[in-house]
Amino acid sequence: MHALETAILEAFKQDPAKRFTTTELVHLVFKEEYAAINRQINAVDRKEQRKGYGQKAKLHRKLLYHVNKLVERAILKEEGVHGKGEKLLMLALEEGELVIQERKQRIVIAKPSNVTTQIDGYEREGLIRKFRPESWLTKQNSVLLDADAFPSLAELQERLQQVLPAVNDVVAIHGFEALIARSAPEALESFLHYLSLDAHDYDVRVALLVSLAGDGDERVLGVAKLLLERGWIKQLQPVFSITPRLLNRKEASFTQLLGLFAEHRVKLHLKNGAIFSPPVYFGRAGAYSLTPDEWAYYLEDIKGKTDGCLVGQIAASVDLNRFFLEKGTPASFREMLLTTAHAFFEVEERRRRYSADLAMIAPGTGEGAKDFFRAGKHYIRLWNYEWEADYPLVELLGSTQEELDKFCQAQETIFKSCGLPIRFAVGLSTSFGKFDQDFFTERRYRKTVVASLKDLQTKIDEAVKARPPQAQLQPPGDA
Amino acid sequence: MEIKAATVMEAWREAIRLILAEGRIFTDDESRESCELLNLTVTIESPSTAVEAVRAMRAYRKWIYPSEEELANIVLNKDALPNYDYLYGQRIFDYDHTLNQVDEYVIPLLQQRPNTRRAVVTLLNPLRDARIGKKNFPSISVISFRVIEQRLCVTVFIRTSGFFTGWPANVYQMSKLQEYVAHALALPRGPLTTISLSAHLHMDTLDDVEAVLGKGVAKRK
Repeated sequence: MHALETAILEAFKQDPAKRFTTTELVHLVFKEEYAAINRQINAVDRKEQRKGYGQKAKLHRKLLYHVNKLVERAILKEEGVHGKGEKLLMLALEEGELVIQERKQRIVIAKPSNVTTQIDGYEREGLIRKFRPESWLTKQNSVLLDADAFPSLAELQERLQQVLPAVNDVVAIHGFEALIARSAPEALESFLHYLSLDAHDYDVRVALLVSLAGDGDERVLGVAKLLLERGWIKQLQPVFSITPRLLNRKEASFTQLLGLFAEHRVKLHLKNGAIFSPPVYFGRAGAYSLTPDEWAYYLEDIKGKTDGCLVGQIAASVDLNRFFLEKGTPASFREMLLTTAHAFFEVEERRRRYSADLAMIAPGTGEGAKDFFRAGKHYIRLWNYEWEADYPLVELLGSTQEELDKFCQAQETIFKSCGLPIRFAVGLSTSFGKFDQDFFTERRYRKTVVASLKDLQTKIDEAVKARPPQAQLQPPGDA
Repeated sequence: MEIKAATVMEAWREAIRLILAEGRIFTDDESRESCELLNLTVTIESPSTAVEAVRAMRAYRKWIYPSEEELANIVLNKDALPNYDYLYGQRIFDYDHTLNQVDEYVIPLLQQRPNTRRAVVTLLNPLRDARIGKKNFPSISVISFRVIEQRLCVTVFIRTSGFFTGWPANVYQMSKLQEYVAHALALPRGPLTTISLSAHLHMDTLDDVEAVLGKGVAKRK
């Protein structure tokens, strides 16, 4: 088999259920060439740009030649078109294992069957939406890597190569300010460039969690500028941790930061470290975080033994507006969420059969690998909820989370008593409209736009005050 | 105390009756009120019936009980899967990443010396387990294999055994291991015995016990 055909099949092996566009395949198969061509396309010189576009078309033709051969052999099939007539391709195999044996070469691609769950009925009714169900058995939603565990950018880059293909939403790098401070600007720029390409290829985001407590504001601002000007911000999203005291002490830096993001009309993610110390970051599905207890556990028992932790496993989202419009009651809401937790547990049982794939995300196979999985949880995400709703939302969420915790604890206890010491947790969090714009009802909650430091001090304060303090929804950083 | 029964279901019901009749009430580490009987020995003459208790638990829809496949896999698979805190299979077949206690020791030993009393597998690892504050601690501690009257008999020493949820799974797992060794020795299976240091029931599960095992089983005298 031709090397390019092997490379194409490797892409499908990473994500057997995915439909790839030819552009995505070109990205994955011709990684190095594509990066060089992109540099030409982004060059100022128009001649260079034309050359770049010509090269790009050449790569597409080359790829299509081999794709067609795989289609002829019934290994791949065309599944429609995307955008301006671009082919959508997927494995011809419906489910099971595809083995291609040629001379000394052997390629095995396992395609898991579709996951049928107890919430399929709710999904048909339009009340629940699963997040990327095609990879429920083989991928995790999100992991957090701890910058402190990586002495150099090269080591982090190597680890990211292992993690990115195994995640389907977002990878967070906590303490990124330390890497900014100790890396040469050129090395950092190159790292961010390749990271943005990889994140694009794997269709995941990378959250760069940056604390502004230190002295390196200038370099942090430089990185922010780089991300915005090069367009890498689509894949690499910084979240800045601030406190009111810091805001006062570093007014000039914040003004500059807000100005930069406002100028590029890009959302700026700020986390108030004074009211919530664990990391908070965002993927397509919504916000991710650990509870204060989980974060304390991470810092005391996990940090140092491994290089980060699993944060999100699988997720489904509930449209609260639709649910209550369609005469849903608090009791039926609780029942639906418990059914969802049941479904998650059953899926988790099947995921453990694929645990060799899921384990790829952990560093090595020793005790550190087990530590890496200790903080992970499944997410039930909520869309379109209002604190002033005509149903007792805060109490309802609080009591539902309590019931979910009880269910999770009971399952852990039963499994532990059977000699299966597993961890199972389900958390409630917010959903983002981008999760599935066609599915969700139109946003009803009030959106606050902050364009200056003054806005930040007044509007956010108002928004936070408007929220009931007893709100237990995790994480609270969803303003 | 000792119970002998032909099938797992008979043994299970009888053990629960005995725990509730003779046990003492105490509050465990997780603040749950329990009824406990010390040093309970239960022998099942026909270990092939072990699956019946697992199926009875899986039929009860209040919780999700582990599948037969997963229970067997946990005890027969030697790979250290990161989503379990510890694995019986790994400790049995790859103890401390050094020794396959069954294939390299128990089976060849019983083949050479069928009357031996040394065919013992250890699951506890004090270097890993004996730590204050450690969340999970294996319950199955020692498994002994004996060839008696041309049958492979197994005795399992269990540190603490929740007789409603845990014991059926443990018995099923041990019956699968017994099957594996018996097959390698080309012997039929003999009785399977569990010795539980703490045979207990959580008092908040008595309604569930009756729902699974029938009315009257969980009555405390």
